[in-house]
Parts: sequence; C-alpha cells; structure tokens
Amino acid sequence: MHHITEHILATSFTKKEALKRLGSLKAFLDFKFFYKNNYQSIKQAMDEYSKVTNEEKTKIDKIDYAWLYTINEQMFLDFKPENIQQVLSEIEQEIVNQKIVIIYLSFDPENYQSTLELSEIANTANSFELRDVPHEIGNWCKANIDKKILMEIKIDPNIIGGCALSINGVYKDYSVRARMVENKDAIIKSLSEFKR
Amino acid sequence: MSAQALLIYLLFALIPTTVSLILLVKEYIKNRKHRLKIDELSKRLPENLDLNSQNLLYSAQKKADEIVSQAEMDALKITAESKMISRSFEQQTEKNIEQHIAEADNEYRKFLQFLEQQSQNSQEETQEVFKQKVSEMLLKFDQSLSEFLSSSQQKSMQALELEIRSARELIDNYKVSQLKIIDENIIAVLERTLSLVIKKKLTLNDQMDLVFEGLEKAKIEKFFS
Repeated sequence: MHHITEHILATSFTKKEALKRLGSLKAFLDFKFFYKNNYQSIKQAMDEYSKVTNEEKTKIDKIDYAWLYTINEQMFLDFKPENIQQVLSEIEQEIVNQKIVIIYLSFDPENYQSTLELSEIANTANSFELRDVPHEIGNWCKANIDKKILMEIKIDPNIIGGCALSINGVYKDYSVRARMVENKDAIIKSLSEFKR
Repeated sequence: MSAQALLIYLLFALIPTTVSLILLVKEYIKNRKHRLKIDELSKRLPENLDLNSQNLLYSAQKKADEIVSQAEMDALKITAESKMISRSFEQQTEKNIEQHIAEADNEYRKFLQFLEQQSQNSQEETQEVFKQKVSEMLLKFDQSLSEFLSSSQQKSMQALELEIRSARELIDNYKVSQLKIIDENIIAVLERTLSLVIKKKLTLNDQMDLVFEGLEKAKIEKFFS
C-alpha cells in the first residue's frame, strides 16, 4: 500500500471522504506538476495552489486545504509527472478495496431531535452540546479497530438504540433490540408477574 | 208337556189305531169281495140247482155273515184291546216321557248351574290372573322406567361433564396458546413500543452512550478482527 494511501485512510472516516480527498490531491498534483513545476517545496506549492484556487473561486472547502497540509513531503516522492495517473489509480483502488465497517444507528446523526421538555433538557448535563457523531464514531474506530478502517453510517430505526455492525458481510446486532432479545426470558418472566 | 213328548205320545196313540183300522178295512174288503164273488157265482148257476144252491148259498152266506160278524166282533175287540193297550201305553209312555223330561230338565238345570258356576269361577280366576298380570306389568314398567330415567340422567350428567371438561380444556389450551403467542411476540411489541417512545425521549448523549457500549462490546467479542 502506498504511504499516501495509508495517510488518506488514516485521516478519512468514510470512503466518500477518502475519495474526495484523493480528488483534492489529484487536483493539487495537477497544479504542482503541470501548472508550475518549479516549486522549492511542497508547502510553497500548496500556498500557491490555495491562492490560485481562491482567486478562481472554485468550490473547494477549507478542510481540503488543511488536509493537504497534513501530507508529509516524503509522501509526494512517489509522484512523478509520468506516473501520476497510474499511482492515483492504484491509490483509488486501494481505497475502494479497503475494509469498511457499516454502523447502523437508530437516529440520524445529522438531524437528531429529542422530544424532551426544555426543562428536562436544561437539567441534563451536556445536552445542549452539539456532537459530531460521525467523527466521534470514526475516531473510536480508528483508535480501537484499525487506523486505516473506513466506516459507513446507516439509519435503522428498528434497533431502537445503540448500534448494529456489519463488516465483510457479517452482521451483528449490539443494539437495544438485541439486548431485549437476549433477555427475552427474563422480560417474559417479569411480565408474567403482571399476568397474575 | 213339551212338543217332543206330545209328538211321541201321538205317535204311540195313533199307531195301534191305525193298525186296527187297516186290519178292519182289509177284512171288510175281503168279505165284500167274497160276497161279490158269491153273488156272481149265484147268478151263473142254473135255476134247478138254484134251490139247493140257494140253500147252500144261504147257509154259506149265513156262515159268512157269522164269520164276518165274528170277525167284526174280533176286530172290534182287537180294536178295543188295542185302544186300551195303546191308551195304557200312551199313559205309560207319557208318564215315562214326563219322568224323563223332568229328569232331563233337572239334569239340564243342574248342568246349567254347573256351567254357571264354572263360568263364574273361571271368570273370577281370569280376573284374578289379569289383575295379577296387570300389577306385575305395572311394577315392571315402574322399575324399568325408573331404571331408564336414572341411567338417562347418569348418561346426561356424564355427557355434560365431558362437554364441560372439553370446553375447559379448550379454554385452557386457547389461553396457553394466546399467552404463548404473546410471549413470542412480546419482544416485537416491546420493540415497537420502545421504538416509538425511547427514540424521542433519549438525549443525543444517551444515544451515543448506547452506541459506544455496542462498539465496546463488539471489540471485546473481537468482531472486527
């Protein structure tokens, strides 16, 4: 695996994000090798690139710039004008083939709304903090599974709470629903006391 | 005197009379023929012989007349005797007949009384037997009816108990099956309930806590390796 692929995977949470960053990298490399090719350093090339793209008012968000600056100069050594396309293609393939863990959540992390009363929310600590759910989950996966792992978040309201996971085609439910099924006998036993 | 007896009397009275009359008539007819014959003969004889013959004839005729009168007297005598005999016979017969009739009548009355008695006895016996039979029949009928009613009642009770038992079993089985269905679907019910209620009641922090609990559990179970 190319070093830069590892960097892309380590700094991206989803495949979409990784491919988007690959695209940004490609755009920068095109600029570096074919726009002007007499930069003394990668940083200089990046500064020039950001200046040009800002002037051209293209729709590249600031995150890409920040990410581009995280790339080590050593990683650019793999790239030459004659092999850019090939290397980028290889990197793309490595990204596509990378292991992805699908995480099923019961709520939409972008649009979560609780129906708690305001008074209840006010009494609950940190309830008003906005949380970047995908990044939090992604960081946990990088730290605990594999720094190169990618994830994909899907919504499944039936799991009620918690999460269900799927990796390499294997699905496992770790949600509230699964816990209810595991404790079915205990639940039925406790409900049977109501029957009596 | 009954008609039969009278008839017998008349027969016994008339028979001798008839016999004697027949005898008389025969004698008369015989004498008359003899006389006619003599008259004829006398007419055929010549006159010279007529006086001797007339004398002979006269004597013969006289004798004949004497014989006839004697015969007539005998006949009368016989007739009288026969009348007497017949009368005595009639009387005797009448007497015997009356006696026999009385005896027969007596016997007949006795027989009738006997028959009447027999009939009465038989009637009484039949009535007695009939009563006995009827009472036996009624008794048997009563016993049979009571047995039938008690067995019918018993069978009805058994059938009812069986029905009730099967109904109870059905109800119990239905209850058990329904509770089983409820138990099987209780998780689905709870899932549905919780999915409608908890999702909206949990804060984002709570949701995230649950998510990380699941991830930690998956890490412990080495799900990712």
